Amino acid sequence: MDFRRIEVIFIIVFAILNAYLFGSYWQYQLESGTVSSTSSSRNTTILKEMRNDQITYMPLSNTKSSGYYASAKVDTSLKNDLKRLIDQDARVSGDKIYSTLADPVTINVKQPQKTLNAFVKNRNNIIFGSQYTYNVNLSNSTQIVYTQMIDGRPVYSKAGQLIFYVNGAQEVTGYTQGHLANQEQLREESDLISQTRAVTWLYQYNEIPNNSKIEWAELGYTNLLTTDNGVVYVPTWIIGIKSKSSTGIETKRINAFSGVLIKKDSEASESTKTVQQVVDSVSSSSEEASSASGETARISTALNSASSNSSADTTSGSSVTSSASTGSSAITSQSSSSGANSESE
Amino acid sequence: MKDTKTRKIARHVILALLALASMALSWIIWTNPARYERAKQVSTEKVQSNQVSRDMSDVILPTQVIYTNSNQKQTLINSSKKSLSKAIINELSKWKLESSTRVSRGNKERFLDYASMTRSLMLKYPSNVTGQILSSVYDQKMDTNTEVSQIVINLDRKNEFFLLDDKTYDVYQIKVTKQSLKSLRKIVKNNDQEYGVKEKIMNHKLINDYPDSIEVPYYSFLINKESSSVFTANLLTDTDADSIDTKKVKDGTEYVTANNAKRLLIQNDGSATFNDTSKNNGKNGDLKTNIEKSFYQMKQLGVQVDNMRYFNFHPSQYQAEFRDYVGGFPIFNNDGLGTIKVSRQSSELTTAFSIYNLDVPVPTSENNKELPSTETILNQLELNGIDTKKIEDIDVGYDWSGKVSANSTVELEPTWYIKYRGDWTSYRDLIS
Repeated sequence: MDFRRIEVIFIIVFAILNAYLFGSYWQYQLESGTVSSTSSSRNTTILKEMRNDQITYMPLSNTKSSGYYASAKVDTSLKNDLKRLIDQDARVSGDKIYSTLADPVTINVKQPQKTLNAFVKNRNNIIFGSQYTYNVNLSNSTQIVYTQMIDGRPVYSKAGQLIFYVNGAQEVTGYTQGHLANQEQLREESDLISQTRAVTWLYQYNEIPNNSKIEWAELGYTNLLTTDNGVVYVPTWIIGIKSKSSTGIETKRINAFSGVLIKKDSEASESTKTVQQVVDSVSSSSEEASSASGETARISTALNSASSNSSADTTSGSSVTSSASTGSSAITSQSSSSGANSESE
Repeated sequence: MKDTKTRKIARHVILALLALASMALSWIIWTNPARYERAKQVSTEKVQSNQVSRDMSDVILPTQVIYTNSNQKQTLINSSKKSLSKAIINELSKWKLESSTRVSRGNKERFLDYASMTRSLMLKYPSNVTGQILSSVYDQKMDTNTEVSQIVINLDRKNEFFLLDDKTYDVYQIKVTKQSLKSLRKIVKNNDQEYGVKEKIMNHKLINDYPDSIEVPYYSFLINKESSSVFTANLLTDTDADSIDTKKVKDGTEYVTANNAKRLLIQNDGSATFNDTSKNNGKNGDLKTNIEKSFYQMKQLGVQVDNMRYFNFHPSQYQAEFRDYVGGFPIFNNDGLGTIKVSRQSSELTTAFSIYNLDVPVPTSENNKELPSTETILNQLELNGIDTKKIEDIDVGYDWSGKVSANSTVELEPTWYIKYRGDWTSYRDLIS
């Protein structure tokens, strides 16, 4: 009788113990499942952290595409084609065309390409115009940007861009144009990181402020370094971030081969702004044009030196980036260990 | 309630089963690898040089593709736009390779017949791999573990898929299902570089004999210098020892873990050696184990292996060698740059590598270089007193020479390379 009772108690105890053991075994199984798919689960963890930091983003894609290192030469012979242009006052300075239109073109700021596409394709308006494609990400109410394409992807570098300037009356008054010639593929195609990975890298580099929104992330080509035989372009994820505190969109760049952050030369973009102001002043008063063009020349030399600096920067960037990557890995291991802590709690 | 006999037995049985089950479950949980995975996961999240993760299939790849047309004329084909061997491997991975049958054994002539089969494609490995390696790289379930130096695929007839081993002249035929030759023919058409060749045997090695002189392009690269912190983080920090001793030695810097088990020497000239005595590597194992383990060790370095290919295996030192390739040809450097060598002795693992690597391709100022035919070179060598019978291999290679420093560019010059007395030497160096 007593033995029977003891036996029943034992059966109940063992049943409970077994249920518990099976539960914990199942949990281990689930965890090892996530371990085997580390890269995607790691991305998911980081995206979760981003949401905790009030960073919002558009739907991100995990699709992997391929790209290649390309080279091109800055076109130094634009001057020879200037005479083809009609109804505009165009001059070449620092391998770029600076032009003021005689008859400003009225556009719809929301969809400027509707009017401008036809304008750009006309060889009497824009030299090599058919090589340029409208880029919505770079355009805003004061400037409209067309870019050359490498491998069907836009060139995010002023040397391959056509920038129209828009005045307050929604009229295009002039443009600057850089042109890349002799595009070549340097090496075979190689895999690129996905859009999601690019955004998560950027977050890990601490480059996305809290309370901001990722507006877009696009694959393009950016200037990596300049050599005697041409400029090397690398596939790059360009990510547009809008912070709640400011109105403008800030762009960040991630090397799509390596996931390394590409620092933009702020100096260069500032001096371009000055050039734009100069062009504006050229268009507003033609009398001052001569003195202003002298200024343009001076600024463009400054620009040139800035761009050569920037190439030096990007080459020395490798050392900067490796230390940055060490930092980011510290973040990763931290996040995974904190994940483990929360599980054990 | 009356305690019947059957009830009694049932209770005993249930109790016994439950007790056994709890013991079994406890055992499984205690020995479950997932417990350790979690601890390991933190350490695998290391400085992975930020690369898109590279698999074995990106490194253990055939380096050359030979096409034989219907007149048995052979060409080495290449594409500057898309890696042909990667594209072909991707295609093969969709097929189903199954059982193998030996169709020829030790017969040199028959071996050459297979190597020059009309309307076929031959994938050449620089050094033998094994059937099991191919199975894992191509995601297949082949039942053979024979050594493989070439793969021959008939482009017109299905099920004509052969594994060749030029060491033994054995040929195995593999049964293939789900084979699509159409897409393979399409890939082959994508080539934009062609060199006329004739496949010949030289000292048990199937070589490319270039009957005419060939035009080979130059390549230029920017040299990247990896900081030593990357290697100390990747190689030394996953031990329990949390401190690393840094010592200046005569010609470099040595990093040693507190228990002395792992040491990393980075020399001033950029060459580096990593010694690991913390693990017992066990028996040295077969070729498959050696290649695989060496690959994972190489991957641990965290350096860029975009251009790296499995190149050679030295059985005496259990050493697997990986080397940079460009345009289907190996790159050689007298100071050992551009190679990673992993030796797996039973109690010590040694990795020799360099902190400099070829990083970004840059446009080159040079055009193509004309190289004389294989016959011309062999004749010249003979005239210069080289015993051509001792030549183990001969092919075009790229010479990486000159001083290296971070962010300098290097021009890789195509030239003839000869494997003589076990070492690859450039034609120039060999005759001087």
